[in-house]
Amino acid sequence: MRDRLSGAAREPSAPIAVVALVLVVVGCALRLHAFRFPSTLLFDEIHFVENARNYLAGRADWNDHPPLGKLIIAASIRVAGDGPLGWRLPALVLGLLTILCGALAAGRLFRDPKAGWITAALLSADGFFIGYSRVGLLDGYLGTCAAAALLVASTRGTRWISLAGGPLLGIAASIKFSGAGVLLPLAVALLTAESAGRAHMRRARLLAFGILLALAGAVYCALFAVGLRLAKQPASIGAVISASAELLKHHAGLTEMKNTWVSGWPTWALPWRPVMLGSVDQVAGVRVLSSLGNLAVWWGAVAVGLTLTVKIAWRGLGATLGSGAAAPDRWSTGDFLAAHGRAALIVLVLVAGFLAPWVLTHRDSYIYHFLPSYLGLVVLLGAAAAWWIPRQPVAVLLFVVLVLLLTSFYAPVWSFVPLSPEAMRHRLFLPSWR
Amino acid sequence: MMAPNSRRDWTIAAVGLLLAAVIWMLRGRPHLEGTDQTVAVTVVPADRPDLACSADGPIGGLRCRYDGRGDRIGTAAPPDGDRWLHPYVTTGGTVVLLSGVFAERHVADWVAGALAAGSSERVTLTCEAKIAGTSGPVRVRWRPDGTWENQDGLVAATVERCAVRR
Repeated sequence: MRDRLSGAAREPSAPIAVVALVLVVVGCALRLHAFRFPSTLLFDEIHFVENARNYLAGRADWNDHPPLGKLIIAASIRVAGDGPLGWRLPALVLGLLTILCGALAAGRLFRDPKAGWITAALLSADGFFIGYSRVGLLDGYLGTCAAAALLVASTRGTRWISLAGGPLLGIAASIKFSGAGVLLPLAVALLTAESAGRAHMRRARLLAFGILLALAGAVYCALFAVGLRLAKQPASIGAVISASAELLKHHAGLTEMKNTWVSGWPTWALPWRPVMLGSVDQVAGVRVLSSLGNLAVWWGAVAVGLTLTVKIAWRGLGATLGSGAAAPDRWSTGDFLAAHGRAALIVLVLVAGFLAPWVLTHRDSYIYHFLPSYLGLVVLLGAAAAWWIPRQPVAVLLFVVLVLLLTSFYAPVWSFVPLSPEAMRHRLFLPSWR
Repeated sequence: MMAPNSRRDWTIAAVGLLLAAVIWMLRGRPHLEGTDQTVAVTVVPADRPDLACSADGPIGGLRCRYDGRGDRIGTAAPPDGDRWLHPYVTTGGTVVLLSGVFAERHVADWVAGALAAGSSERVTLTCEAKIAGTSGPVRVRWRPDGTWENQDGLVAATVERCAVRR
């Protein structure tokens, strides 16, 4: 036993694992700290909580998203009461589920448990995910759907991808239309499943894709109909299609970019305008909840995502999907793609799928639209870090230590810890962050 | 025997954890308890009997008039006059718990004059207050027949001197 412990301590990944474990514990604690604070509605909670109340009272929903997110909050209010706990409990539960699904997906897709636990640490210790685990808003729910989509995409059989992916797509699109972004990784996982090339496999894959779409449509219609029925409105398939078309038309018209928190998608890489989810002035102090991410994770994830995208574009899809053995002592992007090209492509198309609505249209955009894409980038960063452990263990260790130091510095503004106004301004030093 | 590389890595991790703890401890807490702060709140004369809070146990040694279940604590006034905590809203919109506001000389004079004149004018009280502590979960209400509102982390303070600004 003692020998085994001593052997484990000598593993290059052991100190990294300890720091990662601390990050997970601290991240969970920051999600739970003063969870019911404040007792008043935060940011856009008024849209979702008020309409959850409307569903419970049998009144119409005036919000511009499909019903599921608000139905989840309504169920929570029914169980935990119409107060801060009831409004925010689903965000907390789904936020923790995001960490679990993201970690499992990374471990399975990149065939390395270390990718899983590093991803868990990075997701845990990031203010973007912490913030959206503490508020009754829908974007954290979409983050969970994105993580679940990667987990489904990591399964081997086309049958499981279609049977689990279809309902997942229906659920994601029932929260927000942009949830349809989960379709891309599921489709790529189906189309690139093993045994490609044989005619009957091609037919099987097309059939599986058809089943996926049919299940997604059925789940979407059923969930939308539940909302309509609760609101005492017609709930036929025609009514669902009509209501969905109206919502889509409404969204297409939202192009003014006048809201104080809007931000164009190119600025998300900085990030220029993270949303301040809550700010409560107190005598001689302030308590804030910022959605600013962990800058080491943020910039690292964006850099890895951009590098892999450029490399895949350079190599071409065929070379990326072709399996190759990487030299054990090499740590270049090309070697990473040679070993994990398909997995990287699945994650990158998830990123692209959730970015597409904002890149391809002029619809008003906010940084929270980036959250599911960011989840994909963090999974890639976790996988890349795990890939580097045998090759550059000290670099990876220094990176996770940097993540820990930034977590410690930014923790107060990620969980409503009382601060002096100066201390808050030191952390959110760009005026656009406050 | 630990290899040099392994020892180096564990040292990096340990130093990182230690630094993180130091950063957390030096985060820049608002220095509140025992300090004197200026608090500006707005009131009307009729607020005096209306404002109430409810909490389990004292907050920095001060108590709400109602316990955590909303039952009135005792019947007698505190021995040192109006020293129950009451909720107020600052000019910045923050809810605070203050004791001794309506017992303060200038405020008492203003209330007496306003009630005699039948005035319901809203004024701003700029008060010097000694911070007693910060509450945990607490409930406040703004009228005797009003519903309790949940609050958390409210600053509790004892008023020492106020200026009335109309």
